[in-house]
Amino acid sequence: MNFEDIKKKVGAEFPEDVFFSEKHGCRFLDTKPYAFKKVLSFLKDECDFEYLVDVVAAHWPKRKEKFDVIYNVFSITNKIRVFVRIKIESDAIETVTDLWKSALFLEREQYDLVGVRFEGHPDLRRILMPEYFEGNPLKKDYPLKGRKWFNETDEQQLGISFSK
Amino acid sequence: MGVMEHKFSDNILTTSVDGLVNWARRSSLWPVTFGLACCAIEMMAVGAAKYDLDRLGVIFRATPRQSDVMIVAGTVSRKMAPVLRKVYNQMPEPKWVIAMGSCATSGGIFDTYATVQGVDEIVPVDFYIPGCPPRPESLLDAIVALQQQIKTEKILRK
Repeated sequence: MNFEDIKKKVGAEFPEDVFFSEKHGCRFLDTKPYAFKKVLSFLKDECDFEYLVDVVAAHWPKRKEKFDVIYNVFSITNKIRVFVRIKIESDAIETVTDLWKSALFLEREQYDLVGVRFEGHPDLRRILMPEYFEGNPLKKDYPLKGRKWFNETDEQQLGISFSK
Repeated sequence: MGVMEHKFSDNILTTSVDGLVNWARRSSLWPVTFGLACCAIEMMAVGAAKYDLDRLGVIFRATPRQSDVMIVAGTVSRKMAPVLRKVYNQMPEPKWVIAMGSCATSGGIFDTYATVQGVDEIVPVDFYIPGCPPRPESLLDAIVALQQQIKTEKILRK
């Protein structure tokens, strides 16, 4: 199966909700929040996209749809990579952990850094930042040099304090 | 006042003992490997055959309890800070710290929300090595400079 076949197959299944485009040598599939789970499930089960490589969220503070969520799916069988892109207005989106187990960590990372809540995720908590950290550092309104939280806890009672 | 004061009777002189102790200390500087980022690759290169730290008596130890010097090689994040301090606390005296590379000395390019701006915020640093990452010669130079410093330290008499 090559990319044209996949385009036809997915286009026939979701005639209204799926838009294909190519940019910078990457293949994009734009879809709507209400249909994306079905599209991803169709890509996995019918088009051999057996590998979810990455989940990425981008924050757009000035836009009506505040977040982009992009699923990087790869077909090992057909050697094809597609970026499935969804724009969401709130910070909530359905989880895909039931389709790919790799989403368990990938969604936690985006929840931690960008603040998108993946509803239905079995264990949604921070993965990179420490538990006592508040906020989402990759949100555009988070200050780049926001180091005030350094001194808020001395979690192991070692008497460390930061001045810079 | 040295540690040996009033330990011996007055007719015993300890003039050369410092020299012996310092020779032993500087000739077997065992660093704890604290590789956190790309500087660690350079630190490993210094330890390997081409630059060969072994000829200076420097042997990497994987535990702080057998170490004299900590080479902090790489970016220290806020989450790593207490770990670094704990490892330092576990080292027996006398102990020294080398901050290797611009991240460990000042945070380097990572003037961000999660990076400690210099490891001297957490532990006392004896030598700073600039560079991103520093050349192996720089690390060798720091170790030789540390050996020179140990040579001048006074333990038994002050």
